[in-house]
Amino acid sequence: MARPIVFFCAGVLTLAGSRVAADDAVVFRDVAAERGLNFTHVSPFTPERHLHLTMGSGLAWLDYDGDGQQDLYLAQGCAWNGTRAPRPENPNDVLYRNREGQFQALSAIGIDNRAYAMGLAVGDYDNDGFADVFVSNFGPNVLFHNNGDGTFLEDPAFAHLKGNAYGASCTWFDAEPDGDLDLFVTNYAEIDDSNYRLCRETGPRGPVALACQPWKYPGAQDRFYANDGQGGFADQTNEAGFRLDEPRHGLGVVAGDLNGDGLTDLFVANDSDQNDLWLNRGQGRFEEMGLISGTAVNREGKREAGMGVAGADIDQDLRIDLFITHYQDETNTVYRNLGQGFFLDVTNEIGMAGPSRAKLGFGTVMRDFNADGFPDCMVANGHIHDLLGQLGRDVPFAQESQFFLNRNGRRFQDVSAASGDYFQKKVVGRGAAAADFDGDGRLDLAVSHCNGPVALLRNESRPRDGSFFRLRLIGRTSARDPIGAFVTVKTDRRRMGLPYEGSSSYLSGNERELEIAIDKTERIDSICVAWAGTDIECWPAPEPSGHWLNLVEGTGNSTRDR
Amino acid sequence: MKLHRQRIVIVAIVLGAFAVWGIVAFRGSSAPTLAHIQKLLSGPDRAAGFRALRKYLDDHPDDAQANYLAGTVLVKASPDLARTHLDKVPPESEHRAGAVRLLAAMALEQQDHASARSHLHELQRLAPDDPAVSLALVECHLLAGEHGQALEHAQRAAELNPARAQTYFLIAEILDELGRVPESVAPLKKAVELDPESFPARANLAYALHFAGDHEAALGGLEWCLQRQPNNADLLLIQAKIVRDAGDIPRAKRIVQTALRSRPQDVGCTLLLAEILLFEDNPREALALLEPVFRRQSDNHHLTTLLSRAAWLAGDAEKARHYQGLLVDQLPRRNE
Repeated sequence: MARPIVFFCAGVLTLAGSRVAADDAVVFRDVAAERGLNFTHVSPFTPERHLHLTMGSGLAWLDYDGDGQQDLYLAQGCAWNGTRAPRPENPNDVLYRNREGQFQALSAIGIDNRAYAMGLAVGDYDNDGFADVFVSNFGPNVLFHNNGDGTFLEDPAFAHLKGNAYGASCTWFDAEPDGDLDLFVTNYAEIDDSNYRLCRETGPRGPVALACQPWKYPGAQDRFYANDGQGGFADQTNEAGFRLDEPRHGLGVVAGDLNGDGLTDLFVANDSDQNDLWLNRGQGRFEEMGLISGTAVNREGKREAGMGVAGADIDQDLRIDLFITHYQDETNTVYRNLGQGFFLDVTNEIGMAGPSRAKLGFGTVMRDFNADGFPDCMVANGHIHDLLGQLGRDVPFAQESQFFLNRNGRRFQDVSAASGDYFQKKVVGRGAAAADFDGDGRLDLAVSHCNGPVALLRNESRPRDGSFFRLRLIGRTSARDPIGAFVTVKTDRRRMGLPYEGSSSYLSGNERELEIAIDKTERIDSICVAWAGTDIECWPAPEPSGHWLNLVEGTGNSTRDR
Repeated sequence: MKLHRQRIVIVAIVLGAFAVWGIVAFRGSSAPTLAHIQKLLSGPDRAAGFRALRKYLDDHPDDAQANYLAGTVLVKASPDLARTHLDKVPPESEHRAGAVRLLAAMALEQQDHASARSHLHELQRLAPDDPAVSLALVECHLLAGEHGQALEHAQRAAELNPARAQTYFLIAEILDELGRVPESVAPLKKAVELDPESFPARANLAYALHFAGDHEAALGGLEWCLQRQPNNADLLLIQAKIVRDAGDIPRAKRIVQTALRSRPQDVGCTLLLAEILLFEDNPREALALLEPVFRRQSDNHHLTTLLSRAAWLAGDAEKARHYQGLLVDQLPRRNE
């Protein structure tokens, strides 16, 4: 008699056969020390386990001096002394300058942030051609204007908006759009320094201090700061429609045209609350459409503990899909963009459910690391509780990061085991961001660790046959730094959709430029750019100069068809 | 996921065991008069024994041994009176542990979980190495919905009697209730190791392994179960989920359709089939599949979410808004 499970065994074999081939692997090596990146995050836990100390800080890539090489801004934490007010003795954020792939910490350049830094938003808000930096803090936020001479100055125009809140991820984008970048800042929770709520659970050997769950604190209102283009900012949270009756616990944010109407929308990942999808209705007005869109809760109708978020065109249908990292025992969730503002949770079907439930995900990057045209996925993991063992729980504090290859837009394959030593190491991962720091055509990664040294993961995969170039967009009627634009690369055999993104991940920002690789025999037919709120413009068969291609708004052919 | 919810039928065991323990403990007593009374109570003239005991208690109302004996003999016939006598056994008495055992057992039988828990906690201090006490506490906490405390006592029971497979299964069930499914893999493996023929332990282990992302091990475990019950809809549902998560959507669909032929009303299978239909861009078919289920399970927010999705994607905005409104009402509060 045939065993009823014979077909079943075939399934086992299929699964076992899904290992990554050696020549297909994307391999990273941590080169932070040898490249001069000697930054260590400072966030010593208190005996009571104050919540904010567990959350870590972000990092962001930027070309601050315009030399074509990606520099790295690292947000710094500090010890807790009973107040979030900045103190001169606290450690400072550090900007590392990249010179031919070697990093050098810069000092006395006007960056002075002595609060517990959280999120970073890089953007040229005054259209002067130099990348400025906004830092959200557990404490007063700061806006550093890039003077263009290698120094920064805290912008006095933002002084009245610094606040004293608990800022998290933040991004620049052009809301109206009126040609200058505005700022959106998620806020996490309302915490009273003088009455900081603390939590503990009772274990077999007595009470154990644990950082409180987010809902132990009221959620905090996210903020929208409108740039008037004349050097001034105003808090227009209410006027733009962002006010919520019951504020949520915002942690992640990504900006992009999520419903294909040409305007830049926002997705906010909230911790244990439903997520927000803010659709841009024009003229700077936004409407929250999370539930209708299908992104507020997962397929089971459950709110998840959102941490980081990435937006990328996973399946090359020219729409931005969303990937959100979540808490242990939840999946990291993929929402496929179906167009017109509708999304579908496809986490299980594309292979992201199983690998994520046993991890607590924070930072995430979705970019093309193996130059096949499909965005791959990196997730930085690490728990917030370090004492669960004392409660008899087998849940590690330090956890391995994960790397997934995108298999033709249909499925993600966990290839962490073949992606280098870093992905075998247990760390307390938080922020993560990608850049090709050494200009070799292979995207690298930086990962921040809570209370630990930063990792610089050089992509040392076997180079693919073919060529690459780095695409930079320069807006004219749009913002010069056109965050929210959408790029379509059409070759003789495929189309690739690439969002020109601001900050995303968890508290972090990837390099702005897009790295585009094509096969040896492949030919680019055209590149089209949907500028935020204006035209779609195409350049037929553009010729990169060396490895660079700059597309300037107004120099291509206007069209309605991407 | 509950394949087989094993109820802990502890009360009867506990009552019986505690009563026997009490009598045995009493036999060790050295009080000569009470020993005579006890002999009468266990002989043919029990009535004479009762009379003698009553008389003895009239003369010695605070005698711990006498009150304990009265409690043990009255526990079935007159629980209230038994409780009165047992309460009189003072903490310093050697019979206190026996008295508390009986008090806890009576409280459990009468479903007075607060009292039972209080007595059991006292008993745990008096008899810290007794796994039956820990298991009884598990029962109390589970009935009160206190899963965290139930887990602690279940883990203690496993420490005290590491050879009992059912205790590990119980730990896994509690972890499941707490939403900590990946952590249930270890106790389920232990349960299977101790009792390799346990169908529920193997099936739940397969589910937990799948949940934790170890599809290969999950399929291996399911193979054993499906050999024994090839048409079990629960098993087929797990198999379909594993196959779906492994990327073979058409085969997952076939498996769940087979499961539905075996159990047409199964909500879990229906939801999975609807998810597959939505993924395949068949929202109208998904809607038609789900709406009859909604008439039976209108408070299931997984179902309501899928209905809302299916309606939006099918272009039925009015219906979508209806289900979405219900979903908003069904979403648990953030601190639940």
